[in-house]
Amino acid sequence: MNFWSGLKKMFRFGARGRQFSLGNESWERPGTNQPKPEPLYKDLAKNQELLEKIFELPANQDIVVRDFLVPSLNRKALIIYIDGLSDRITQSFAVLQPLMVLGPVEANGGKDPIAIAYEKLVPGHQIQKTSYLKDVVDGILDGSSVLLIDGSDQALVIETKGWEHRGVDRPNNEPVVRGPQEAFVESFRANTASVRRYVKDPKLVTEIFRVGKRSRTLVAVMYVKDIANPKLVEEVKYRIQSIAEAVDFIPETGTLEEYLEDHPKSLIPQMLSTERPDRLSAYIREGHVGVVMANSPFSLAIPATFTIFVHSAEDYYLRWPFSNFLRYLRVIAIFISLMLPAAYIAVINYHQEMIPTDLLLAMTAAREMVPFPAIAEILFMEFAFELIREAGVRIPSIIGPTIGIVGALILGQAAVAAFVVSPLLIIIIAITALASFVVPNYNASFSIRILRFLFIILAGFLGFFGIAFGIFLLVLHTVTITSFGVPFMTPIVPYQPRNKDRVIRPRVYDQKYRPMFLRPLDWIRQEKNPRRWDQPQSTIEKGKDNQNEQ
Amino acid sequence: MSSEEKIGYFEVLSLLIITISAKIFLSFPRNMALLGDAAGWIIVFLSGIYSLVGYFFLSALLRKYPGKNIIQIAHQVSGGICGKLIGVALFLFFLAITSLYLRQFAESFILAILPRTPISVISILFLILLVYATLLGVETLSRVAWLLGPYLLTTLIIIFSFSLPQMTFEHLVPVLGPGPIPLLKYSFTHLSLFPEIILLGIIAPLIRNREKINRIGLYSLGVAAVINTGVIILTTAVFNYVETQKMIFPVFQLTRLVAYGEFIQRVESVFVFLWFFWAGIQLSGLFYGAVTSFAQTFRIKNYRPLTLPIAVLVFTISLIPASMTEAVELNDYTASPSLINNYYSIAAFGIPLLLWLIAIAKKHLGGVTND
Repeated sequence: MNFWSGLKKMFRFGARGRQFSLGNESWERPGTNQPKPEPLYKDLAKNQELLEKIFELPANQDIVVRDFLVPSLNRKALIIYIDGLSDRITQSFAVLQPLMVLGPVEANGGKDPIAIAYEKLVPGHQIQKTSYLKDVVDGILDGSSVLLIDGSDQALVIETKGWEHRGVDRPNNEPVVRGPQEAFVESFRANTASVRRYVKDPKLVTEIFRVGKRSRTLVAVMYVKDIANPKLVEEVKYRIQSIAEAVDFIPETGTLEEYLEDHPKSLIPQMLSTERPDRLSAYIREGHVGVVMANSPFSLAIPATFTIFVHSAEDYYLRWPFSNFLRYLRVIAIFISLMLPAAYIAVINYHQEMIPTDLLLAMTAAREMVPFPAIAEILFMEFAFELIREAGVRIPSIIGPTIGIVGALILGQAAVAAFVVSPLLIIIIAITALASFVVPNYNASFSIRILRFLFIILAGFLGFFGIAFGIFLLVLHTVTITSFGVPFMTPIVPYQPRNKDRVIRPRVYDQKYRPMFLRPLDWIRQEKNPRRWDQPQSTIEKGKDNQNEQ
Repeated sequence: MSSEEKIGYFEVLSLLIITISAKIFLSFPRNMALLGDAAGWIIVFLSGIYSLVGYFFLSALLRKYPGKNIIQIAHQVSGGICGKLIGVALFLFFLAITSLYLRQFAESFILAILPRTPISVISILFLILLVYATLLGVETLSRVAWLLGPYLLTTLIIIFSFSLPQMTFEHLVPVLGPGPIPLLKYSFTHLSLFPEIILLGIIAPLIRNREKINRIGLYSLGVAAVINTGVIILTTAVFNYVETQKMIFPVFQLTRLVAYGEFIQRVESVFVFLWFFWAGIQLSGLFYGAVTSFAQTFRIKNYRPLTLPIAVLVFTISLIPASMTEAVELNDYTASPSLINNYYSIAAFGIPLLLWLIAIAKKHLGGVTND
């Protein structure tokens, strides 16, 4: 039976129609039905008991429950917070002091005490009134202080967040020469605020969800309401909401990415994770959806296409000839880091006639003393290089420089001197390594690293034929996969003639349209030629706006 | 399920052009030299024009029954059993053409770069690609064609331009080869130079804008005819027709002429990529045609379970010719009675003509109209 089910699974592979796509008209997601939230009690003692039970209180020592009397209301009250997550100064001056000392004497005339506290007593700037247990628990875990007063089934979640955190720093993984030097940090609000600073559009919507049944991590879905395709936004929200209650812990956007992807088994990343707010906001302005997550200095741009992985943050900060030069360099680098070792193997093993005779003689002379076949050599050196690379990440920074010495001297020099590898091969590996660092995205360079090994093995078996076989399979795969319903290779295939920013970046003022493959609500980014002084004088005088042409 | 697939204009166009013109890498120039001496290119050109006429019937049928492919049209026009027979005929056509091309391409790779590799290894690797591509569907395949097509064409032009200095136009003399009458005759009997156009009949319902179907067929036949004719002219002019008759894969010999200075010499192995992608796209298209025509004939909704069995069939048939020469000679129109050759033309152009005639007759005789 297992065989049959496996076969069936295989043949359903690639079947369309079930898949989400932006163009598919008849598509409805079932609504997520939230369970009815649990209410609070009117009695303070009962509430306290409930919360103590939830937070395992006698044992749990960083939860602080401070009970006191509110003289102006003549009622018992308590605040509950987590030590270290809440700011003590705000707490004493904005919560405890007004309640216990400064409050005006008030006759408690049947009005809900929490309502009075909300209106008159607590001067905190951001206070949420709630009557559900869930909000209270989440508020406490977020670092807010929760005020409960006897005789009310409501609670005040007073924003007193203030913990030790890292300040905004330079981007470590996506540095640029020219452009903003600011990265996302672990702090949630700082991240959403920095996106907001770059987009500065009243229509930028930040919807906040909590994911993880236990981790309750905050996730913000950010999009520009009148640009982003509502269907795309709905799909992102639907996917986030449906895993929110199904999974216990989601620590980071990397994990979230794996849950949300269209093709999680693929080797190719289908979302852009970036640590640059300027980059994320550039994509949000185009009609993509941004996902920002608490505790994660990496945010996601959804959906991602192949061209996005060829682009870098700097491309639009440089003038177009310069950034196009970099784009070409990058494409060549991608090819080199994917193919060069494999091509070397293929030429050495199968197509020696291609090498000019003098070079061939030199190569053979150098290889003469090496006892291994070329493929063993190259796999060995590639593996050694991957070791250096991984060690460079993990090594304590104090002994970091050692890696360079070990890598360059011992592996390179000594391996050649000991006739373990040939000198030409060291050059090949070095160029490949350099090229692989040019790939502007960390995730993308991962898939290239892995694919490189596959290509080496294919080339070892069948030479150029094997490489061609691998490329064809890869192309078939990349053309099939989608990212949130958007084909991965668009705007190249399916062809979008209006989006010219594929590999070559057109001049900024020539790009009239937003990415059409996202089906944005507003697909015109700018006038046809905003440089009005460039246009013939007559068109300006006539007042003809080129924008009307569609 | 497969009706969810939608193909764009450029995608189909490039898929069809690649499919029709893939034979230039095989012994096609040789066969033309055998058939028409120095005038082989005239045969190709004329038969391109004839096939445009032949294509008219297919296009008329597709216009008459929009949203249906040729086999569904056959079912509708000629009724159950006849429709099934026609479907089976088309299936056999696709099966034969895929197997034969597979064998010939495999042989060409063995000859060109992998002389010691057994043929089954190469065939099986190709079949893996075909099965994978067919499982993914024709949408993916046509996108691949559109993605790679421009590069393939550029590479072909590079080969052309490097061999231009070697051309001697005296080699094209005698211009009319065996004489005008045989040329006209041959070009009619060799309609089978462009039979792959029938693939359009299979994938027509999936094309996004229906109005353009007619244009797609015309353009693809036209461009392919130009490419094929150009290759014949080139090989004849470079090698002269006597030499071309002796070469098995003349375009491969052309790639050997690509050289620049001391450094870039004998780079023919690099053109394996061109070869491979061209062959991969063409074979996948034809294999898709075989699988879907079988599924359509017997009204199987999901064609995907059929891919593996038909792949085995293709593999087996492709191994029937005992040697390379035998495999090549199956397409050699002068040596054999060219049963295959005639069958191709009948399947690709006869069946649409037949269906068209039946449809017309039914309309005029007041028979049951199905629309």
